[in-house]
Amino acid sequence: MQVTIALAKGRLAEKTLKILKRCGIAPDDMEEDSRKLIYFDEANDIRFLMVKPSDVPTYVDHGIADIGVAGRDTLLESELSLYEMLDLKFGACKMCVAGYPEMEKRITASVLRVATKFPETAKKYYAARGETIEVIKLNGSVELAPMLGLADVIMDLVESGRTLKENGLVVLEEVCDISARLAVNRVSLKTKAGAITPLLEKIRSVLED
Amino acid sequence: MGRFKKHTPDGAEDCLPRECFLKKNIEASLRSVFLRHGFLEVETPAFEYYDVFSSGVGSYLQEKMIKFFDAKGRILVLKPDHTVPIARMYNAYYAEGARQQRFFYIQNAYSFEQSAYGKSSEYTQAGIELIGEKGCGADAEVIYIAVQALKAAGLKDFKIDIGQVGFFKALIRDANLEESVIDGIRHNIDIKNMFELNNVLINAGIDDELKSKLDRLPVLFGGEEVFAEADAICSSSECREALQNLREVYALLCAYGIRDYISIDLGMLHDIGYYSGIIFRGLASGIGFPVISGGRYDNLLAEFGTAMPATGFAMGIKRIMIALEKQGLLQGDAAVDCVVAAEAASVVAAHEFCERMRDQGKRVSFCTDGGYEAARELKKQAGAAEGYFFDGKGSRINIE
Repeated sequence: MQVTIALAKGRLAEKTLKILKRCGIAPDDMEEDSRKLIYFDEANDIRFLMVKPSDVPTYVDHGIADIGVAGRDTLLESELSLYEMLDLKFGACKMCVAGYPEMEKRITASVLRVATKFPETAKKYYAARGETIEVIKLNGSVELAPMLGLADVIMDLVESGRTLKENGLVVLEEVCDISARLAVNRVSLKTKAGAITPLLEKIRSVLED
Repeated sequence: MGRFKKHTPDGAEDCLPRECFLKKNIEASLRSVFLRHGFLEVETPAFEYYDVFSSGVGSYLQEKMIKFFDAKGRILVLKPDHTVPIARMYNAYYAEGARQQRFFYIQNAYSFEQSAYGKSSEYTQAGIELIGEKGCGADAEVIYIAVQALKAAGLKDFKIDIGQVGFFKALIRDANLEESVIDGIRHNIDIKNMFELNNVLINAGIDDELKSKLDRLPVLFGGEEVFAEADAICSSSECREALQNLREVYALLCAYGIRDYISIDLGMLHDIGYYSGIIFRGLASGIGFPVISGGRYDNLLAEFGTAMPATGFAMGIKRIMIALEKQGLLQGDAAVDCVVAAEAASVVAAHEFCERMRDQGKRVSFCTDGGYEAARELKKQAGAAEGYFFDGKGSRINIE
């Protein structure tokens, strides 16, 4: 029973492969700088897909991949119903709301304007406490938004906090902890239980070492 | 010309002949399974008043419903589900008479979905509702029919995954938590996120004994070995009752000879406002989404007047077809057996000939526009085994 694992191209994939290697699982033919998108571990009957990080949940949701490794931020933003079964611990950071410590209330706006790469996560976070916000979707350098008056605050991942500090911003609220998570398709876990359950057990025991 | 004149709306698509032929065949097989088990077919309207779905355990997300207005300005919705309209129908016509009713339907439902393969905004569902019976016998009957239906549709590799929401509800009741906290716990159990579940349980200040029990729920899935561990977790008589119900349903299904299709998951906790006992999903290899969703919903009927136990399921025809195709089991075509073409002078004779062939059970296309070449093209396009051309003098010529 072949199991397909979707990996987020880049640092996440490298770290995941390191953990898998300790479980005795590795792609047979992976070379550095390779542009191939599919790899195999014939001995363990595993197929690896190299996909863009934000696409990992989509591959797993459709069952094209049985398992995927992605940051919790990506999983939260996708709003798909996947089993989030393991915390792989690496890629740790925090999802935070940041801005200026003293915020001047604008006369011409009643709702908070939030600039972020994670519009769904932001909407859900504020909606949960009954606040309506206006989301401004950006794709990078989010810190610029409050500095230039595009938004009141930002919601973004904070690792060291250096970017915030160098731009005069501070963390106003911590939303949640983020790290790499292993997600499993809901159907695959049951229809491929014979292959997936032992694999998860192996990874779990390596993580606990 | 309007910008969208040539397009179907997001989430809606045409069903072309081959797919349509296979779809109708599957529907016919399902209909015969449901009839054989004593269920009667009903149709409820494609649209209902918004109020039917706006509140209570059968409510549906406002933003997902496709809405419009009637001539008096009242809000209507295209029905997102069939069970709620059937509950409404039952109370309108059957509440006074015989309590027990067995209904089935094969109809379209509608909701705004992120358009994706297997998740469209218009979808055909086939399903059954067994109203007026409680107890494990009715639960097992419905699941047994679900298995028969999937087999009749042609699926081979599938599982019915069964849970019991009463088990979780009874466990959590003693903790006296706020609704939102319970939902956070439920959600993390449902997505099997043990790490986050642990955080939520700690933040909720739940005592160690209950916490250690709830911590186990995400992994309480598999075969009958699950029962032993679940036994150890039981805290109250309600909890034991829920587990006993699941055990009895499982035992019946094994005795009915379908053990291989059944798996257990006590952490299955979606829609627990709606479901009141047994809950289950049909999972088929080849598609990442469930092909069946069902369970017991004893609290729905009361919202329309008369409280009545009920259980049932809905299956997504498109998803079943996707799984069949992936499993290499979607075969057959709406083939035409024979193409007959005729020049104007021979139309009547050719028409008689067609009717004779049709009487023999053949599917015959009759074409009167174009000569021999056009007929040959049509025969090739239709993939027909036979083809005849009647020329102007009434002679019948075999089409190459």
